Amino acid sequence: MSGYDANIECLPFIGFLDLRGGEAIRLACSECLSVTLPASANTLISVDDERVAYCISSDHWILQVADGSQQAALQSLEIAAGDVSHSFVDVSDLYARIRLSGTEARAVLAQGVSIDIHPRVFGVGATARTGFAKTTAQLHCVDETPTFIITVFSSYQQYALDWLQQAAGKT
Amino acid sequence: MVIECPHCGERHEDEFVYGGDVRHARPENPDALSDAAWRDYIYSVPNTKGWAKEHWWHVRGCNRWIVVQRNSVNNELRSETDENYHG
Amino acid sequence: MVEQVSRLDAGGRVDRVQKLAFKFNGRSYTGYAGDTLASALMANGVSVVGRSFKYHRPRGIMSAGAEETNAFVQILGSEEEPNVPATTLPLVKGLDAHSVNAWPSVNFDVGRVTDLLHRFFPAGFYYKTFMWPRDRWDWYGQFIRRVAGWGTAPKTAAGKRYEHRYHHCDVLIVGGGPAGLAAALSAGRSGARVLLVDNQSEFGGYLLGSSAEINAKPAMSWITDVVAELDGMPEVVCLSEASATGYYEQNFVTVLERRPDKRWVRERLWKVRARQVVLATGAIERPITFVDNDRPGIMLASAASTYCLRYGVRAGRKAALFTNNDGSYRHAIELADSGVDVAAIIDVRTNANADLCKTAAAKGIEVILGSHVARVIGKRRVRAIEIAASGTGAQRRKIACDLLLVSGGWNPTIHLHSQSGGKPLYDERLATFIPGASVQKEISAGACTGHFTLAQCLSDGLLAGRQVAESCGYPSDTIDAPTCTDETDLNLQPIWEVPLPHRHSRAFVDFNNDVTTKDIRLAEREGYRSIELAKRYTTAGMGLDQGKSGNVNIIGLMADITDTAPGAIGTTTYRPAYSPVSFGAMAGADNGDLIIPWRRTPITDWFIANGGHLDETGALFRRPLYIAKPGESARDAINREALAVRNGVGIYDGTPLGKISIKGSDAVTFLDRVYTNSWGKLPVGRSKFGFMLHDDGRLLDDGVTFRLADDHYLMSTGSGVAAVVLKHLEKLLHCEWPDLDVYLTPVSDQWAVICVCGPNAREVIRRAETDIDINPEAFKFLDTRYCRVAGIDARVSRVTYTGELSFEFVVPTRHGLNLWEALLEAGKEYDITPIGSDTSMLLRTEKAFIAAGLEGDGYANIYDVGMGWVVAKNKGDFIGKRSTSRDINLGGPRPEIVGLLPEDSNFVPPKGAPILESDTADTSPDASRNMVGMVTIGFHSPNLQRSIALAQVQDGRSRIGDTINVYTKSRVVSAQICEPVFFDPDGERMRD
Repeated sequence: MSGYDANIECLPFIGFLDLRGGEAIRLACSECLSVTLPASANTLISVDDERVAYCISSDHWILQVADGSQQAALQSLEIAAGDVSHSFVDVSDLYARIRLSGTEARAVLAQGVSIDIHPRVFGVGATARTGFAKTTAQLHCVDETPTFIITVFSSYQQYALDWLQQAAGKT
Repeated sequence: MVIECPHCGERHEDEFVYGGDVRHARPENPDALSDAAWRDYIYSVPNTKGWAKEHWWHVRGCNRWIVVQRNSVNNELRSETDENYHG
Repeated sequence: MVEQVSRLDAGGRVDRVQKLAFKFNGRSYTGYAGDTLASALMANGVSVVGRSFKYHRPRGIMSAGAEETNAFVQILGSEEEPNVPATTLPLVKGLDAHSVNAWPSVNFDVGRVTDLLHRFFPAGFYYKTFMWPRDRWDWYGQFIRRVAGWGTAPKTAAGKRYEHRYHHCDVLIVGGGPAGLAAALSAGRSGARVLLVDNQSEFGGYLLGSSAEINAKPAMSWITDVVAELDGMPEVVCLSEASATGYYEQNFVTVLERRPDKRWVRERLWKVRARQVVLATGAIERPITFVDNDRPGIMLASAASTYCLRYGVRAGRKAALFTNNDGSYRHAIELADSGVDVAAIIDVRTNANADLCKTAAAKGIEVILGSHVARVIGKRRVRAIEIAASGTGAQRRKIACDLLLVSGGWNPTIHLHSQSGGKPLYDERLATFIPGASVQKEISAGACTGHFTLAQCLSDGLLAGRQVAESCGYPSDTIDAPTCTDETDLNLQPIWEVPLPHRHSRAFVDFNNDVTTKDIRLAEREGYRSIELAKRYTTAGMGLDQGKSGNVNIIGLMADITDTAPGAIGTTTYRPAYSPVSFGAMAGADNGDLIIPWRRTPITDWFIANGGHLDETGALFRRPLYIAKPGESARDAINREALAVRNGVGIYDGTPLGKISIKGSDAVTFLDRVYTNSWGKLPVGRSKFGFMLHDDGRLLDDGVTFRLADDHYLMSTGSGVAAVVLKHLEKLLHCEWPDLDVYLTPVSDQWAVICVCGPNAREVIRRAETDIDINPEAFKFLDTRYCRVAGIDARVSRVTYTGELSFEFVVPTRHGLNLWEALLEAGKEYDITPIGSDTSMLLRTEKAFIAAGLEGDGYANIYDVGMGWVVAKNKGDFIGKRSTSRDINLGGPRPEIVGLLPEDSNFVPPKGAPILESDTADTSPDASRNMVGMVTIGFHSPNLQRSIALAQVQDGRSRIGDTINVYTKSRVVSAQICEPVFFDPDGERMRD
């Protein structure tokens, strides 16, 4: 059976940094990264081609970086933050990503996501951390296909994959 | 039930974990309290019928603890805040 | 066999080209595409389609919709499903169904005997009869269950999947009849996101089987145009065969779609969150309560019209109508126009609309006013009726007919309105309940408000659609209401019970549950006057149909009996689901392995491939309890693993441990407040065991916290309580101590944890090659270092969960399996042995390493479990301190953790087994009152070559050496109380 028009694919591990801190840290990191980190939850900013900063809440960001560049990125951010209260942690293996892409990707995703993912409200560039099936995911709509990057805690990756395969009618 | 998170907007209740009633702050010096007074602090929960202020943890979202006013009779909700947010 | 004897030559919406063969109760028939099972059976002249619930009376098709009370079937085959109303089941090729509740067959039913003995089966019969003697209930139960009840649960898994789908919209419209479609049209044109759902296979509602006209054309042509326009609107979703089954708080509505667009999906449950809801759910005709009103051939008047005009089926050869309202005359006339011989209209009123009477008379229908049906002749099918003039009961007259239409008025379908929190109001004029004030963002439109003319339904719908769209921010132009055929008012005269001819006559108020007027009277006499109580006592309204057609008759009757107004009686609570929802649809994706979101460590697949016996061990991980070699028993595997750790070397996957990164200048203050001990002096590169309490003094968790940098600590928590601990800490930080400069980052899945333990552990690490000095003097117990091992960057710590010399490696998850395999390779010559969590528990028990979840039982405190040494004496407040001191102030005996050595060294005391004094002679279950403790965990220890246990015993610490008894179901074993640490009491091995 072919199921919904949606392809599901696990993506390799990549770099992730967990950034915590107040307004001063947001500004310091923004300056270090040369883009302004957003201050409202469920928004993102693309730093460059490979780096994306997801705002989890107003004092919490997940910065996606190229694999291998975590330590360098951490060091420069630590220097930028100085003595101001903050916490920067390498969480590259805490998260695993799955790509869901196809004309019916929304019909698959809507089976396990209770937020509104209609293109009017969750179009290209939209992101949210929300419940996904029986776990938690950072959702990111990356193109018009539509394609979603679903980032889950890594111990749940196989579950999320199995769940998506079933939801998409592939198994 | 949908809870309006002050950071994330309307979210389904299963993204949240209930954290009990909002009560007086934990006593500064518990040793100064009598056994009976401490027992009351620990075990006497309000269990209000009607409007109650409650802690909810948005664990599948922004990870913040928010304060929700919920009517325990009909689950009506209002004026959710994040009182401890220091940004 | 003559095919489809009752099919009209022409007419209806069935496709006469597409013949469909099907089976019912084992016999073969044919129908047409567009039929329901009910219409196809009727076309084939099948009168008896089921047996009633209690008396097993023959029953026929009563309605043409979801309100059906009699025709429930079990669908057989790969899509087996019980209790499906034949009236809503679309006929498909090869459908195989049989009646429910008939044994051995629908035509010869053994349970029929209960009908003959009905006087002995009144309401409350089961409660009164089978309750004595008390212990015989189970014995009675097996017989009751065989004769009672409906279909049977399918025994094989469904071949198709059930799907859930969340859906958000501006406007949800429930009902695709004239009002719902009109609402969808005006809301849709505004650009709002609209979801329209209807439980029939086609949109149009009652107009699918009606002669009504809109804009001087058949009404269905207007419907077709509207549906086509809606289909062209990108933001409008239209679902047919989709029932709104429940209306919950905050406009959350569940919709069950019975035939979704994907062939691999059997049913789809939509979880709809709508900003506004329009209820256009229509109305259901109600039967009349008269003697033997349940005989096959008695049918709702509107249903007969529907069968005739929608399905082209003659519901009978010769019909009569028994009515109390003008609206139903239309159906008699429609039948006559379709070629059915309509003998008479028997009307309880004397003031029927004169024009309608004339029209009827012109069609050859005799109109008999002021009369009622006094007798029904024919058991398996109506053959004739006797009528009598109302009041006197005299002037009886027999009318031959095989179809008796009944119409006792109409009940608006207010179920969803009521579920939304609305309080129904009684409308005297219509003698029924209508929606009250809206509680949620919901409005009702059309027949469900008591507006029964087509013109009203259309204008209601158009207005409602525009209003709700506007309130969502989508203004739109007014749409002019189309013109419709004139319709008369119902002008109804309520009749709750037609006088019964004699004492034993029965008139049914709930066909589905076989409840008669006598049962309601009995309930009232026995004090169950509240309609909620009468419902439960008699089961009226509790069947598969949930009293959709019958409930108002029950309320009316109760009002008559108690001489009150139906409005004062009120309705029973309408609860979800409006129509039955299969368990499959409720479960959705929650089947098989997906029921639980199983987590995996990087080693899980290795365990599966290498004999790991996996089981859930908390925190959603399935871990190996032991790793058996081919042919090895569980006990042998655990013994082998435990001996290897004590005498050689073992390797353990500790990845499920909870891990929380703690950063900030107040990290020490925070740790001091949440742990019982002091954290100020811990140097970087060292770790410490900590104990965490709830503020009520009960045990929360124990574990090791590492100091990785000046302001960076890593806390490890028990696997099972990781989420609980995180919640506890985050809540304290957010809600109690927001001023602390501390950030917590849960990092459990970031790190794989692999522990090498046993006397040969050091040799294995050397062989695996590491760049740090692991000699005892350089790398001490509780040290933690960054290192490279087997070519992988890691952090290694000298912490132990077994009491042996241990090295715990922490590497990023992606490298976990590489390290595991490298260590296995390095340990080959030492016969390194992977161990499971049962083995780990056994080793912990030997060492009396207590587990907060086993030895901590919601009563025990930190001193009771022998962990008083982890409490700092000279420290300020910490969470749980005051409650612990209150325990001490209260005094009295405490349950203390001790060891047990059973007299029979092969007897393993089971977890939870009660402990009694050895001089207690009583071995009865009541003896447990004298319990002095219980076993918390027991094992056979291969290292001690005997059974051991930990137990909680009152004042146990002062009773070392005493003998007590351990009770199990099968035996009582005496055991000696001992010091809890069975192995290496001074802990020399782990410090080695």
